Amino acid sequence: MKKSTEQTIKALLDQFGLEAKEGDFERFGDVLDLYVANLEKLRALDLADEEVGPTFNPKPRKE
Amino acid sequence: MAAAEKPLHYLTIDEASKLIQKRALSPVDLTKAVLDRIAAVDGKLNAYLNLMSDRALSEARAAESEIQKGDYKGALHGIPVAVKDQLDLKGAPALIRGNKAQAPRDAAAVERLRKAGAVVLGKLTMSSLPGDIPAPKNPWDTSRITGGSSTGPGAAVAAGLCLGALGEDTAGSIRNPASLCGLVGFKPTYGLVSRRGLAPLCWSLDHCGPMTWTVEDNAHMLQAIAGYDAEDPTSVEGPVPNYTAALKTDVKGLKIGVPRDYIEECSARTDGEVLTLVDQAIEELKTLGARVEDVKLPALQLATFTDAMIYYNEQFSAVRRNLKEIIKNGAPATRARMYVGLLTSAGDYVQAQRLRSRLRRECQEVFSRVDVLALPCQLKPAPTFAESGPLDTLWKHLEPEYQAPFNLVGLPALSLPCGFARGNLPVALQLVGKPFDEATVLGAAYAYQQKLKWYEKRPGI
Repeated sequence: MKKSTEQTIKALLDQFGLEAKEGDFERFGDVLDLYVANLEKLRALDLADEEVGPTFNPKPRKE
Repeated sequence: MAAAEKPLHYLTIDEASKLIQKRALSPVDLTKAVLDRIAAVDGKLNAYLNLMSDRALSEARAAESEIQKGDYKGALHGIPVAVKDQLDLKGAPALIRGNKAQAPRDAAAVERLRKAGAVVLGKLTMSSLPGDIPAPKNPWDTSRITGGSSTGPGAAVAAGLCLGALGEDTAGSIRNPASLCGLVGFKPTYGLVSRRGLAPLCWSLDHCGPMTWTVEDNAHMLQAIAGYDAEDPTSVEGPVPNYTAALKTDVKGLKIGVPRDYIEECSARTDGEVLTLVDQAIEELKTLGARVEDVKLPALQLATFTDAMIYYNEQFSAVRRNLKEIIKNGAPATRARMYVGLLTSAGDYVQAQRLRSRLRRECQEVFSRVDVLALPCQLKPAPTFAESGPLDTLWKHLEPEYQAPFNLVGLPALSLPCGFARGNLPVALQLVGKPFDEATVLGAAYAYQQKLKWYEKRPGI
């Protein structure tokens, strides 16, 4: 797992007074690295003026 | 095979209901036959968590008495069905909720099934339950998984351990086992079927829907459970069409969109036989009168990840009070999801919701030109247990695939058997419709089903 990802999880768990289960960083390293890589793709996406919509709007949006 | 020649447990809902209506079949005899089938086979399949035989027989006797008095309620009257553990069943524990207390009330969808006269056999198992509950096996090959998370419904419907089941779908959990077990599985439009009494995995992505052997059976079950419920804050008010009336044997004039670029994007991870069988199914729909065109939905590219991200973070929000216990004793996949929750900021969650709006807008534009989308429903046929691992679902949702994007936009999406790959393993086409246009999806699926008749083949268990 990338060092920065591991440090982030450790710091956030620390806020809850917790530590990761022994071996979890090795066990989940690859999958968490892929999650973070996808998160970075999502962050980089230019969604222009797209708003947070309702969960589902049955009526088509009028342009 | 004609209905009269089949063992009772392999009757479809539609076949059984026609016999029950004309009093040629007793709901009690049918329920007993299915209970016998469960006794004979479920030891090998592990589909049921909680079988309520006495109560089911009592309900079957009541149904028989009502029908004899001329009070026939419709296609589900006297039909034995079962439900995924995630749906509350009065008097039974919901293990997914993490406690063994008996539910005081049925989930809304279960209440509606009972109102339609269905006989509820009990609860079926699912993925991610706490404890050492054995995973259901695929009736087509018991060395293989059913797919999750509606694992029990997948095995039970395929093996004749109930005539239909209710499942739940957050990122493909109805369609995945349906496609791997050869069923028709329908995730309806978000808001069509009440979520009241459904243990939440993710409030904004959870959908309750029917899992059946045929399209007409699915229409019968959806008819019973669809409709507004004031007790579900996301339920949408509106008329419920007659789904059975929409079942026709041609699709003349139907416009089908194929998101070819996206299928290409997923192709490296998709089994070649799945791609071939789905292409053949789309060609069959053309011969039945449909017009097919390629469509583009660029936001699909990150939609699977976005669905999973919203799912895992809503789940993290719901269970974070128990974070200490989960980190200490939770299943590996659950612990991994908690770390994912920690890594995601509020800004990330909002960005995910904005991508959701983008995909919804793209779908609305495409659906102004086509009536349904057609694409594969699975990446591959059912893998063996040996090929599967505890983090498979997490891995699957971090790269583009075919099911989760339609949870994100809440559109109706149906898994339809379209043939068999090597080793007699089912493969499915997915049909996706406009919001609240389940009738068109069912109509197209029925026309295809009646032409190819894949439902005639049952697992040999």
